[in-house]
Amino acid sequence: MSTSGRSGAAATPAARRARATRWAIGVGAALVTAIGLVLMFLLAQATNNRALYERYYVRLFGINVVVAVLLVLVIGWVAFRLLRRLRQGKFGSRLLIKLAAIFALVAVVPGALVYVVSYQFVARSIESWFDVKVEGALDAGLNLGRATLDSLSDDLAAKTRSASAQLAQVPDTSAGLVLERIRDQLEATDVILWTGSGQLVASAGSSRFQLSPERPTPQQFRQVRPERAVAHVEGLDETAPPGATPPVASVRALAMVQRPGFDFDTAPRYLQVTRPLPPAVVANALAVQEANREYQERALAREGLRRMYIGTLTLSLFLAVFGAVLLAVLFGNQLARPLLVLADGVRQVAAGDLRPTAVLQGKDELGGLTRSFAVMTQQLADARGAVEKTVGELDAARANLQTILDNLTSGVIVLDAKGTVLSTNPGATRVLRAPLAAYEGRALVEVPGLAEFGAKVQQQFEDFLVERVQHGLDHWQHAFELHASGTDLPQQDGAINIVARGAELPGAARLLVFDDISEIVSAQRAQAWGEVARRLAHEIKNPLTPIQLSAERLEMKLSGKVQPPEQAVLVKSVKTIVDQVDAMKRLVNEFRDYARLPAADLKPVDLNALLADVLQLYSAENLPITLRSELDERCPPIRGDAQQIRQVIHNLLQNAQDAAEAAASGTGRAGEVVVRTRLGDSGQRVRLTVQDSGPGFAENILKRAFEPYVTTKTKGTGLGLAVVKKIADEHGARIELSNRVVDGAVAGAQVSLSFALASGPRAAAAHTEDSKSSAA
Amino acid sequence: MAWLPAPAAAQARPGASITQMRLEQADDGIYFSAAVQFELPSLVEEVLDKGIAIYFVAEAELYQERWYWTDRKVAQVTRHMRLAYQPLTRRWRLNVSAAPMTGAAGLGISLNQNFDTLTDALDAIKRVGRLRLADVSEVGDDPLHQVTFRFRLDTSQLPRPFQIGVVGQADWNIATERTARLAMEKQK
Repeated sequence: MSTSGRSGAAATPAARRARATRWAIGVGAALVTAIGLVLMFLLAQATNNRALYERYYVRLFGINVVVAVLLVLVIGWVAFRLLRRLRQGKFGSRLLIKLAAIFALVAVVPGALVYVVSYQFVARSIESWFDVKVEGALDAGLNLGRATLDSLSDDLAAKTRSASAQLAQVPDTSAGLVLERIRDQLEATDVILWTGSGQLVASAGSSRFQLSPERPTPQQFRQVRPERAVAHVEGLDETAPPGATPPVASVRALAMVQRPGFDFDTAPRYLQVTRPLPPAVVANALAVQEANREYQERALAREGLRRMYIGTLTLSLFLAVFGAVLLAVLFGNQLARPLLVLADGVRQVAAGDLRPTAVLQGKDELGGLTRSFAVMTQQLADARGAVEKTVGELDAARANLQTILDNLTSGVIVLDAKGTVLSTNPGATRVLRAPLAAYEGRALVEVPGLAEFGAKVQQQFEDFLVERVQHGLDHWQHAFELHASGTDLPQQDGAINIVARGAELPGAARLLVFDDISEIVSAQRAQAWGEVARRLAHEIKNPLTPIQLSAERLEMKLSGKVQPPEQAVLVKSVKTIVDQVDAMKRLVNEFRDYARLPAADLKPVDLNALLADVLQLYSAENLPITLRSELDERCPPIRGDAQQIRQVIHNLLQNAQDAAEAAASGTGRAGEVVVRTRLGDSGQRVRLTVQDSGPGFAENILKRAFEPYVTTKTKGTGLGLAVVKKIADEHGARIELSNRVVDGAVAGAQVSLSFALASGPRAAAAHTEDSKSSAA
Repeated sequence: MAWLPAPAAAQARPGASITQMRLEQADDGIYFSAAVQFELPSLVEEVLDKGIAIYFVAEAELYQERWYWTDRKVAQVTRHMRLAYQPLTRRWRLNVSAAPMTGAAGLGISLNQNFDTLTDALDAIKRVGRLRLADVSEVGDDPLHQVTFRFRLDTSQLPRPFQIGVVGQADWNIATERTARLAMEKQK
């Protein structure tokens, strides 16, 4: 399997070393166990074979003890390692300990049982060998033998003594015959007559053929008294090997020969009689003695024997138990390893790590299990990879969609069936001017200012759901007006016109898409007004010239032909007509201008030069106000139509002047108008600002000042700022209208326009130089 | 007197001591004699009474001194003694041999003596007489010869289970050793 190969190749040196260590431990332990078993076998064998056993017992015992100690050390080391692993919380050590403990228990309990039984058996059986009765019987046998020998000896001694009387009257020279007779009488093998100093006087029997027969010891001579004979058992030796013919034992008696009044000056004579013992008696007596000796020997040694057997047993138990425990640990390790690998793998997988797991090569079920597990893990990893890929694609798609939604100018809200906001996009917040994102999870009607809208939307959805069944519609569309204050002017106070479209999403969610169409409405309205103005101007302008001409002709014809009072009325009336027609013409022209603004012809224009040109017309002597200009000489040319910009400047200055004048006449202070140009900080735009010291704009005017026919002036058409706005829009210039606030009080109005440069920023620098030089 | 006073530390055990050491030169060789004094513990006597034989070993070593090296062992002689009680005849038997007497074969070539009492037998054991150490030619002319004499109860020849029972028991530990520089005595 490829995974196993990979994992094998990826094995770290530490893992290899650990494996080598494990091998070494295993081999060493097996070796020690084998040695121990062999030694134990030898020890047991030796117990059977007494001689071998006795010779080598101590040495064998010593070697076995050494092996046992080695085993103990190995087991101690293994146990220490296991405990350390357990303490470190290493994975699987608990299982390993459990397995080892079970195996050890399985090995130890029967071993201990056998040991206890054997111990009892050995102790009892050794004790049972030694019995008081047996000992008594042996003792009795020994005594019997001894008594038999004693009686034989006494008998011979007595006979010898009585026989010695026959020699009392016999001279030494003729003693031989008597001795022969005595030999016959006593059935002795040998009869010898000694002097007190141990010299042979006469002899009969086998000793006759010996040159120097064995002489009694001086001690024996001393023991013999006149009235008492002494008998000894000779040749009763234990030296004969068992099974061989028993030695020829005999009783040797010694008696003093009393010779009263016969030969006073000579030393006493001693008669020695030797008679063989019955071989059966000798053999049995020796057998009893030997048995007794051995019995006593073993009885005395039984403690040692017991100790020896029990020592062997104990050592066998130790070796067996230690070996078993060691093997238990090793086998437990072996058995637990696949389980550990599996468990480790499971843990890894649970932790989300789907790398290939280790695979064991064993042919048994556990090895197969690890292989299956590896395959499973691989499949999991593949599946997860596929899922991750899909999720990634989904994420990308969603991010795409989100980006689209976020950058959509239209507002999008997803609602549930009860009208709760599920999600919104920034466009919705912008369009509705309400913090919709903060109200996600709450009902749309709860959003401040949107209660009515929410209710209406809900109503629309419900209607749509009903109608959908009937008409098969897939969406509804409706225009709403928000923030309407209820006045007659629909455009008042920042009312928002939106067009909303609803559709149903899967899962009973509702999609609400809406757009701010206020500007479109405004533009439509402006366009409509322009059309009206153009037509009105056209229709009005046509009769104006005939009216004027007719009036002037009337004056010319009638002048001097009527009475002075009438003349005065005529002149005044005609003047009024002409003036009013002029005013009307101007009004119409303005209308026409507004409606018919030609498309701007955008070219580089030097704004400063243009301003200087226009400002000449507003010379100081013509005005009741002061006009101040602050021109920024760095200003590069801007993109614009000089003619239209001129108009813008005129309109703005006129407005400012009117406002300042009105304020000045009201308060008596001199009005002031400031015209200012400035290059923007970014160097991208040029800002034109016109300030006045007038009363400023009212709040409601400020919002709608750029719409036509909105004016604060009694004589104004309300088209001035509308034209400015239109031109600014044509130029792509930003226009801002605000009140100047000084110390919390309105100090005047301010209109500022920022124009785009004629070229990029780089060209702008060169133009700046130009404008400087031209200004100089 | 031939023996020299030995330092007290040379005696291995207060229970046993070597009271006399003597080196003699005869025509056919160098002979060593010694006298040992010890008391047989009652435990050992009991064992003897039950007919079990015990063994004694007497060992003499003759060294030639070498100033440049460790002393050279010139000669060594060992005498094994086996003491046993015979309940049938109520006599004590002492076997003496130059080789360890294990089994009947060892006893066959030994010299044996019978004693009526244990005291007699022990007296015979305590007198270690005429151990032939070496030929005359093997020994140099030095006035003094270093001789090491050891005497001990040999538990290693006891029956083996018996050994396991008695090993380490103080009663069975009869051993003494002495090293002395002895003058050679010419035998008349």
